[in-house]
Amino acid sequence: MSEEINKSVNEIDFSNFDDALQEEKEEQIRNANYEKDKTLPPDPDCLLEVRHIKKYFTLKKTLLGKPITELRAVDDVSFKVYPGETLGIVGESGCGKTTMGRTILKLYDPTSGQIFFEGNDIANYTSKEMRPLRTKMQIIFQDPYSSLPPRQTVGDILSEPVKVHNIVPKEKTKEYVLNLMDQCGLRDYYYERYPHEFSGGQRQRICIARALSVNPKFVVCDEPVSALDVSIQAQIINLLKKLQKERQLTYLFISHDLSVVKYISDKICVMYLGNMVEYGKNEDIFRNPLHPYTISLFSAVPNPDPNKKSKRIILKGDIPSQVNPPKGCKFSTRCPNCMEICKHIAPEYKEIEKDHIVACHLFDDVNKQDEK
Amino acid sequence: MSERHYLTGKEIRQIAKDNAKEMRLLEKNKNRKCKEEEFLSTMNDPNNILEVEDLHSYFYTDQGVVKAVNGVSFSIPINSTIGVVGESGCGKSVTAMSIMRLLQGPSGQIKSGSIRFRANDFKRDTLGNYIPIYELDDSGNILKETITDKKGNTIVVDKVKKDESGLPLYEREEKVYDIAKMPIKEMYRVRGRQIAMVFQEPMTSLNPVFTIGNQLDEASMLHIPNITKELAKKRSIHMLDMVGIASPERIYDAFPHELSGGMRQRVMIAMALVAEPRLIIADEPTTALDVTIQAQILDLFNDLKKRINGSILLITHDLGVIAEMADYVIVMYAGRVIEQGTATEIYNNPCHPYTIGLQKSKPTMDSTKDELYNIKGNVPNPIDMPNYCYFKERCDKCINKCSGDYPKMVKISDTHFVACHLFEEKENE
Amino acid sequence: MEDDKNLVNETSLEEKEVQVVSEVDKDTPLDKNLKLMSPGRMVMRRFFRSKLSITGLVMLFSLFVFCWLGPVVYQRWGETESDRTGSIAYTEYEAEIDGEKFIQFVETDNGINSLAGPSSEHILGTDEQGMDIFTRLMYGGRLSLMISFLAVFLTSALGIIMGGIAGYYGGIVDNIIMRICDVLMCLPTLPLMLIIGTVLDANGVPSSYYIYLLMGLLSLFSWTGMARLVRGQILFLREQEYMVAAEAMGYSTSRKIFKHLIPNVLPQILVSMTLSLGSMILYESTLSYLNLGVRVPYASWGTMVQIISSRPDILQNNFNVWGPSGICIIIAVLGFNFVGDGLRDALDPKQRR
Repeated sequence: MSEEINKSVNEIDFSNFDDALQEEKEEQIRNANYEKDKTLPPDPDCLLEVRHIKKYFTLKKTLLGKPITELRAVDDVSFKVYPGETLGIVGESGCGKTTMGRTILKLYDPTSGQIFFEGNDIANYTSKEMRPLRTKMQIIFQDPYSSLPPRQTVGDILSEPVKVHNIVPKEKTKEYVLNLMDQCGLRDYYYERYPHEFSGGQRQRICIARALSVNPKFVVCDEPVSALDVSIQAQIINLLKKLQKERQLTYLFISHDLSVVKYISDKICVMYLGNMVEYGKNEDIFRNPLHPYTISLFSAVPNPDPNKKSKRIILKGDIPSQVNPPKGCKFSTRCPNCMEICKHIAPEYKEIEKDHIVACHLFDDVNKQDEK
Repeated sequence: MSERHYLTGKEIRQIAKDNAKEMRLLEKNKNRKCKEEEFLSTMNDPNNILEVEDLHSYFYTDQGVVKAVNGVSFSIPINSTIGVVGESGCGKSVTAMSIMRLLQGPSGQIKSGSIRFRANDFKRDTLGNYIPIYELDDSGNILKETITDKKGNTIVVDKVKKDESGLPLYEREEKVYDIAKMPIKEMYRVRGRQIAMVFQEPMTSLNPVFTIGNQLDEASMLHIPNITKELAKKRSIHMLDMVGIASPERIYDAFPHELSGGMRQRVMIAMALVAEPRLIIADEPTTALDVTIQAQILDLFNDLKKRINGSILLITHDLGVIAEMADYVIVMYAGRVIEQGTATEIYNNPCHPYTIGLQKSKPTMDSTKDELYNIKGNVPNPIDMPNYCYFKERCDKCINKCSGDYPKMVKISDTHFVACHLFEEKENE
Repeated sequence: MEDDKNLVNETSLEEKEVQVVSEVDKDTPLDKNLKLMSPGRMVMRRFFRSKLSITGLVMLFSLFVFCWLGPVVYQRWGETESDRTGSIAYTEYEAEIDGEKFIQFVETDNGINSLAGPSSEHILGTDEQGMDIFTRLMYGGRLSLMISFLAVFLTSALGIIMGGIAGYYGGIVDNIIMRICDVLMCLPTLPLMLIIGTVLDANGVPSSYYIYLLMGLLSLFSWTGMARLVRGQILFLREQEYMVAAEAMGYSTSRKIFKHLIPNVLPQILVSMTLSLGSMILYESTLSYLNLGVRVPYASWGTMVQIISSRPDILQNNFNVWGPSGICIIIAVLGFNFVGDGLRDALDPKQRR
């Protein structure tokens, strides 16, 4: 993080290390980084660029509104999404992936950070200012059961956004909606039915159709298949891929299921407790996972072949609480390769290969060697 | 596009009338009083611990009868792990609930079929009390011991044999119960003692107002005769230790909300193990957990499999989990068993088009394909199932015969069976 | 194993030849012919499943028919008409005409047929002023039911608006409204009503307006329950993913509230309104009983029971004077509660058994 830390790693005596001071220092450095990056112009090639985004939820506050306990759902995450590609975000529950998806769409207001969408910083847009942008960025939710209004028919659900945003002339709305339903694999006689009459897979198709009804460029898919059965999952994934091809969509694909993310994503971002621990191209990450968390996540996926009983790296313990995360590297409590330094000093992002970034002290030396 | 697909008032009334009649009858049967002989049975194969034969469990809903389990037969051998795999609504959970007789009445009922379970129940004397095992001397006489009773008098009683932890032993006998025929009041003989269950949702299956220790002790006190509080506590801590909880004494005094999902699931497993049941039913035990925690729990199950003296019925939708855990696999679809065999047989040589589709449609870590294989369509609505093969609408290998009767189970190998017309013809030749 | 694999391959070859799947079948999937219950029917079915709600509905229906159609059919007596066919009274006057003294008897017909028992003339007898109980029961019912409906609508309107604002905007607005609720809930309603009643009396407000004023005031005090319900529901619904989806769709605030929130709170509101109708009837009766509401000669169920507070002999001897209105109150309250419970089971799927 700071050069001071880097050079003195071996000399630090951790027995009476001042964690509070270190935390303060890290905070300062992070703020400095943020201030430095703030003035940079957005990358013109990107559809979406996220810089140092943070989302804290206040759980407890003083009478004057000063936060006492905070839940750090997303803690300083930055990445870029280029048009037409899919960024997969992987992590376990509580790693802040859903919060991040929603913060990018401004469904939550970010605590700090910048979100550039087509070159405009939307981080401080009001709900009203966001409205025209809603036609460009959409979201598909995890739970197809609670994300459809129960008292509207499928036709109403799908034509409402079309009417509100004047996507097509009024008299053509129904035709447009039926066409859209066909594209999403929904039969025309579903138009008059209510959501409760459908199974999960069909509901998710309705959700996808709703998100696409306004012709968005960018879609956040928030665990769109994890509530579905395996055979239906494949249908939905294929549908999402087909639609991406047809409409040149850009996806931010959030999932806890590595195999699904691997299948659909061009780039992958692995998150743990609000931090990005590893980021890189799909092939790179799966060929050469670097962070111990990524490695253990990969090995934890059960293999359907009973003949290949895989040797698993089983992580000890549970995911720590986001309210009171561990000091230093947040993964240090469960890490099989934990060192003394990990418990006190948060690791810095290091680019190991091109576009392959990892935050882990195991790779502290790599960069140093490169520098030399 | 019209309202045509809705039921008319007349039809609704007809359904309600039919349902009420059926439900009343079955409910009466469930609450009847009867002698033990009525629900005693014999096993077809002495190596089995559980035999389910032609089980039909129905739900009588307002929209019609849902045949959630429609003629399921399978058996669980001693000391084995059976995996039931299928999508939601295929009846796998209902099968488990039927075995435990936990179907929510009056709408959920076991319509017919038998569930034979070989219980290792306590022997009872004519008064219904358990018979202790006495310690004998060399000549076969019962040893005596002097104890002080509650009033402080010293009395001489027969010496009861105790196990190493100090629990008095009772005579046991093997009895085969037909669970489907048992009145609901008699189920205490089986539930918890002989068959224990681990549920999917660890967050809601523990009572939030009692400590973990309290709930574990309660289970011991309920199922183990004449256990003292001290012994129960010792046992609970031992169980917590057994399921890999690092500091069992501390967790013993903790409340459920202080534990994470993975820990709670471990506690649930400990609770299931308390009475040393012969069969543990694990209903999607890892579905609600994260991948890394799921790996921990699966590891625990694999470890327990070797250490406990019983079988596991594992219900899951994840073929990966099945492959890790199960010896035998049962694939269910729309309330029926469509294929069953050993784990290797099902993986290497899946026969039913559905099993093949299920396997191919899951993206794996080492596959790279442009388009995922998928089974088209949706699971048919369980009301008004067709009388031909339920998978016909979604199958891409249909033959003429598929429009005929529902296919029978065809034997592929000694352990491998499939219900598909493709193989029926083959067999006939 | 080897054989098995061959078997599969052979069949797959075979199956290509015999692939005669009828295309018609493929195009009509199972769910096209599947019959479900329409949402309306589902609600109906759930409502009519319970015998109690049917009983409640019958009770209410007969009460309404009795109160509104009754006076049209049975026009023998008016609401405030006394039966003066009681024993004729003669008054003795002493008069002096031309120095002679006369005793004059004057026949007056103010003899009221009071406290008569049930007869063919008066189905349920008469009260102490000779008014027909049966007729007054019908007119009294009209007033009691109408007043409670008005009060419930007023209460609900206030509650929905305040609760809706509190729930949707949250933060300080929510805090202020909820604290107002707390304060209002601390006030003892009945003593307050007594005081206000006395003040109104002293200022010479006509007694026929009393009840409207008082019930209006009551609504001002009792919207808190509805507001809390609506606020809670909206807080719950706001977290539902379809509301987040509505936000993501860029809908305007008013569209979100009126098209997405309100229709989903409506069932709970309806249930709560039905249940509070019963309590409003009780309130009206209480106020009338305390002589704060409708006053004789006008009839309401509460007023008709009120007589027993001053005439213990009537309580003891003349059940037909106060009993019927008491029974009507019970039927109405029970009816509303039964129907309300039935509606809750029918409309609120979370409460479904």
